[in-house]
Amino acid sequence: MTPADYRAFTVTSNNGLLREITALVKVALAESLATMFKLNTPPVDVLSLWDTGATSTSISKRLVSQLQLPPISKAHISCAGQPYESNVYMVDLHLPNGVTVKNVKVTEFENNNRFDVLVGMDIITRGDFAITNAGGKTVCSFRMPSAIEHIDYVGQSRHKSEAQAVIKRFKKKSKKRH
Amino acid sequence: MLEREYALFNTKRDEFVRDHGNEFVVIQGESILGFFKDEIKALESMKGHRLGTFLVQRCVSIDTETAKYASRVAFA
Repeated sequence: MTPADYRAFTVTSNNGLLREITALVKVALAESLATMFKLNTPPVDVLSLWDTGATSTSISKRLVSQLQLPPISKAHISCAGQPYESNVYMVDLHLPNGVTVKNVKVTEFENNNRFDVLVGMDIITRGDFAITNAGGKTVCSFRMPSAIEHIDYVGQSRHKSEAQAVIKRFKKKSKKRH
Repeated sequence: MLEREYALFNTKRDEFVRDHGNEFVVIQGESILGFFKDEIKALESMKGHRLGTFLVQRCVSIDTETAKYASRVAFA
């Protein structure tokens, strides 16, 4: 069988369940900007947190300063704290699967001691992102580009009709609410 | 950086969204330098200037522009 033509990486817990999905990534000023404005800063390897609760990718102020990134625009931020305005930078994001996502526009967050990149849905939706916990061990895998079919556990379930009835009830309720 | 340019953009946001929706406006200081359909073309138009001294902002509503973070990462 010929291997499928996509790139992927997998994060596996050493033992037990993972509380968060992290992976090493490489971040650089977007090559397009570096060429256009004759800038040259080497890329940096940092830890990223993969966060489906983030609509877009964000980087720490420490990383902004390390890469000497100049802002290109601004964005409104809505988060658990007060609404905020953030600088927006353009970077190239080198993922562990060997794929470089070019010209990614990122906001910035205050430093923390755990990670420098929050990978948001703008990147996650460019591929397929799966988290499974068989045998009490977390395995997370990401591939780009997406497969041609979706994962849908309902279709494989012995309790398919039960699940479909719950979804139907839920849809009816949320329709009433709106 | 770019506070002045972004403040100007916000005062004109509604007008820009109406007349140049989804385009990219280039603002430097108090000057509106042009509108571009493509972001990279907008940046290219400022070759020779120092990056960080001009704003390239997409003409969209605040709601469309807002990045949302459900996690408790500190942004300010």
